[in-house]
Amino acid sequence: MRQTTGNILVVAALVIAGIVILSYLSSTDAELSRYNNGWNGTSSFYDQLERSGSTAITSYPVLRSAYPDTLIMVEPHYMLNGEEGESLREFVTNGGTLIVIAQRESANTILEVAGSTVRIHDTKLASIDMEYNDPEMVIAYQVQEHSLLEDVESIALNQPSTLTSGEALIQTSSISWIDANNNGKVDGIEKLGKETVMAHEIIEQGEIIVLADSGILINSMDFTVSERDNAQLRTNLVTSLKPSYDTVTSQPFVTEGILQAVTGAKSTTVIKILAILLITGIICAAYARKIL
Amino acid sequence: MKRYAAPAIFIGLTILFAVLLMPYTAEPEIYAIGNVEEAGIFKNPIALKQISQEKTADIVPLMQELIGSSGSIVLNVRLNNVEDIEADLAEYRRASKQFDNMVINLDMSESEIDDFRKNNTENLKNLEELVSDSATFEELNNLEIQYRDENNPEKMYSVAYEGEALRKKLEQTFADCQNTTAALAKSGEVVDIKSEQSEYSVDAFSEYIDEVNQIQEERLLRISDINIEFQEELSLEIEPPGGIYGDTINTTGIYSQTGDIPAGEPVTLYIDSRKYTVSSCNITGEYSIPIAIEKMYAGTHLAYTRVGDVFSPVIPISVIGTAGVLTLNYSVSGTTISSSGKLTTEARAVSGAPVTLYIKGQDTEKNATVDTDNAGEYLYETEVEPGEYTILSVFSDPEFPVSDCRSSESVVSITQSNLYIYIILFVITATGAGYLILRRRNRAEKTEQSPIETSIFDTAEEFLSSEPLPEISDTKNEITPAEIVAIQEYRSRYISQRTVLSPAEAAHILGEGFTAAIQKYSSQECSPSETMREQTAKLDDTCMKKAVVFVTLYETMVYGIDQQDGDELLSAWDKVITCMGDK
Repeated sequence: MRQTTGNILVVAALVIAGIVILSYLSSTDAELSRYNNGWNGTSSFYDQLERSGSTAITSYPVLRSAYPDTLIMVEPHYMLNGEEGESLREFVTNGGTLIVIAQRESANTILEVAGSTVRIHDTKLASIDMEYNDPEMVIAYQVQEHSLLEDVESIALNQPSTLTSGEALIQTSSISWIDANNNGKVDGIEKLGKETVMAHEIIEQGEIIVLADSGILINSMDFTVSERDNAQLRTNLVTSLKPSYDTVTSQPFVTEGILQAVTGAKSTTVIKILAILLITGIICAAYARKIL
Repeated sequence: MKRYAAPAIFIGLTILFAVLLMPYTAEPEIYAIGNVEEAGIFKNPIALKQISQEKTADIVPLMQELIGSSGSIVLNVRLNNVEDIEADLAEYRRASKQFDNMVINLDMSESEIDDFRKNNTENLKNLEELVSDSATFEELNNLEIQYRDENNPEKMYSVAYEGEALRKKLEQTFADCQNTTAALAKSGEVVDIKSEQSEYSVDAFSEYIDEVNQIQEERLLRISDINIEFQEELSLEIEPPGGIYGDTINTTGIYSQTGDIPAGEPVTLYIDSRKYTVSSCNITGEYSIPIAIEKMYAGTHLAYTRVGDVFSPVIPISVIGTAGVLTLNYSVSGTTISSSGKLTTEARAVSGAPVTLYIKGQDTEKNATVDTDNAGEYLYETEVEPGEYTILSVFSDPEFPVSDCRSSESVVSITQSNLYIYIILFVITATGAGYLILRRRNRAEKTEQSPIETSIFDTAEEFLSSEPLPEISDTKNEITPAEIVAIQEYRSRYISQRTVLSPAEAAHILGEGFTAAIQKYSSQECSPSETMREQTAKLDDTCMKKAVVFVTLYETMVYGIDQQDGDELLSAWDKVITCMGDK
């Protein structure tokens, strides 16, 4: 009887350990990843998009044949080739709306290809108006009406960059600054003033909207920002413009090999804890089977 | 030995894991989401405190209000609405103080907002000067009317002279005001402050100066017709012509008049049209008045002396501003923070200067202003809740020729008083100790009532004399021959195994047989928890003595008090079993 119980315990321990390890390896903790359910992933936003019937764009030439109303790109990270670039530009000039949500300057190549003059500047934007106890968790305000900003008065940002050119849609308050020395306060040559974090530009029949903060899409910025209109902005993004989303060059869809995931897993405390649990399980089983 | 191996390993592993996990208990990574404030390019809002701070909405309107305050004050000065002036000035001071605190608490003291704060402080000082000087000027106007009615040309001349000094002072204040207002507007522009109101105040000030000039010109014109034979003269010299905080400037002069000069003729020194001090001339008319540069703003001040209706020339004094140095020390006693420090400039202690202390906690902000003593030192004590606080002291007062300065920030941690923990530990310990004492006492009482004793006696007599025997049940059965045979099997086992077992283990066999015999003899069940002596108590007097002899020997064998060969034990066993069998 005791031996049977011991066997059951061993099997149960191994099954639980296996489930935990598999579940861990099948997800990722890469920031912005669509497959990351953690605080810095974007699974919740893309789930919302998929539930609303949005389609994934897996190649740009498809934009020519059956182009959507809106295409959302998040932190686009590589240069488009000639045909891809042409497809994207054509999509915009033919009346499409391209929404680029990015805070890295690497996204400027996409904007340039699409014909926009708006540029992202990867700066340390800080403000006295902050949603969280950190000047880089900036609160920004709508300064011009736009269908995407319906019922959106202010949003909380997560270390946004700044924009130049285009028409400002959302700006920080006047007591904001580029924190050049990254000390969290305005000093030295740092100047106060409003900074644009969301702008748009009309390109022929189309429109390009740029939001210089991909941080608003991460999971933790969804449910924690109760005081601002972040949720409304997401809803507007998902519902009001019938968008498709880019999976070609957007960072949330970058997947890396399992080997890298395992390597990363080895360095995490979770794995250490699992190892401890596994050892304990084995000892329990040994005890149950009277090996000890 | 094997039976202890597993628990020992478990205990060992438990200790090992506890030791391994100990470093993580303060910041357990298994629930890391709330502890990771930043990773990659994002900050984790779950780990950060949500404050929803929108201070621009507080600061910008306050700045606008400050800029707007000047206009109404100057206008009321022009209209001579004394009550409104005081109310407006009080409100301006309150708003300025609030703004100053806000700038410090928001750590904006190196920004353009702080430039605005400094300009605003300067502007407030200018307005206070204006209000004071305008009141004096108005008083002079009234005096002139009075002296004109009295037909007192000497007094009218004095009024005109003082009015002239005041006009110069007002023109200087106006010049300062123009500069400050321009700087205020410029520093306000960065946060979209509208500067029209500040320009309006300058315009109003300018108009007021024109009015003062006109009144003063008319006054001078009126006394130009008066022919007074001045027989007196009052000279004034100032050496050195200026200085910094802590310097002493000597004002000297001679009062000469025809005839004798009465000893102790009072000489009054005025600085910026305000009475500074009163001294006296000696019999030769000489006087000397030292001016200590302390609470005198940096810039040009106008000084003159007066003996009766005789005035000296107006001489400028130049006060130069110097950099201040403010230190901060703190000590903690329980939940009381004691902050102290010293304000100096050019290694001189600055006395009577206001120092504001800012004590900023996670959710609280506290500030208080204390004055420095003669040694330039300040002290402030306050009670706070447990937590971490940042302490900062700031000096900012344009009335002193010492520039704004602040101490370095100090972080102080106030821990929860351990008193409660000590009390809880004491209660737990006391409760535990009390429980143990009561338990021991109860046991002792039970022992006194109970015939059962677990102590080991060396002899049967000792055992018998120490324990009253319980009454034995009347309904006991004799042991049948068959049962005797069964009990005798214990004897056989003992004999066969005594050579291979230890004496104690072998004695256990006889003990089991003894127990079985008592159960049969007394018809009472013997519980496994009962000791051999408790079982013996079930016997009557007939076999009691023999049983006690056996038990005494049994205990010496089992507890290793005396190692014997076992024959004596077997003999005692035989006797008591036989006794029970005979019965």
